[in-house]
Amino acid sequence: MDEYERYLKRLKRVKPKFDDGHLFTKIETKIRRERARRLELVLGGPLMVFLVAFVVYFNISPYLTNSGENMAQYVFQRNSLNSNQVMNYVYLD
Amino acid sequence: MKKYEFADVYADCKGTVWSLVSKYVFSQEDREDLFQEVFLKVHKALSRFRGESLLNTWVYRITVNTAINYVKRRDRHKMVTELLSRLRQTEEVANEVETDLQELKPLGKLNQQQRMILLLADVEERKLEEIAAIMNLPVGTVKSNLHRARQIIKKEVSGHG
Repeated sequence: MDEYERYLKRLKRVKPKFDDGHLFTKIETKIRRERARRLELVLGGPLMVFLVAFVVYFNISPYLTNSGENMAQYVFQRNSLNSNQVMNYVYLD
Repeated sequence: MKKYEFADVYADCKGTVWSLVSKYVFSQEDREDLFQEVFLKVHKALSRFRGESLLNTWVYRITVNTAINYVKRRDRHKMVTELLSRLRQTEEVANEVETDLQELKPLGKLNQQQRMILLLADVEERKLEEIAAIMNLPVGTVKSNLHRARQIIKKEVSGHG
């Protein structure tokens, strides 16, 4: 038997210890953690989209709606610039 | 189609998986990490297992792929650490593989693929065709890798390494 065969024999006898029950518990814990994470993603995703949509809608909507208040503000601002100049222009024309 | 329970698969395959991973990596911490990673992948893929191959072969294939990727990841990390320590010039870089089992030391001279092929062929006594199927490689590649791996180990164990 050559050196290589002897080495293989030694290698085959190598059996590091392992606590399969303990490792199984660790694997189960990781599986449970992974499941919880996935559930968080599944539920958290749509909830986050809803919240963002909610915030965006209520922040943008005042600019989108042509409310009477906005219009009045515009008219008031135009009139308050300098009504004399505007009137002069109208008379000249 | 038969439905497999994870606990039964674990009970059936834990021995063969441990036998392979315990020689493929060199520390107890890596062995246990890799063992857990294999069974997490098995659990994830179990619902998709269609029984086209034997359950044992299917688990073996997952073990082999996970082990090779695990070591590749480890080696990349080690390479970066070594590079950083060289740049800092703080510590000497060890070329020898660190292991708690002297018998595994010569295996550290092989690359990931050679080591896996040698373990499957000469320790687990699997046929070349089976190894080729498990590793998704041509039989010729398996043969040449095995030949090269044996040469390296022979050189190592005869003291000419």
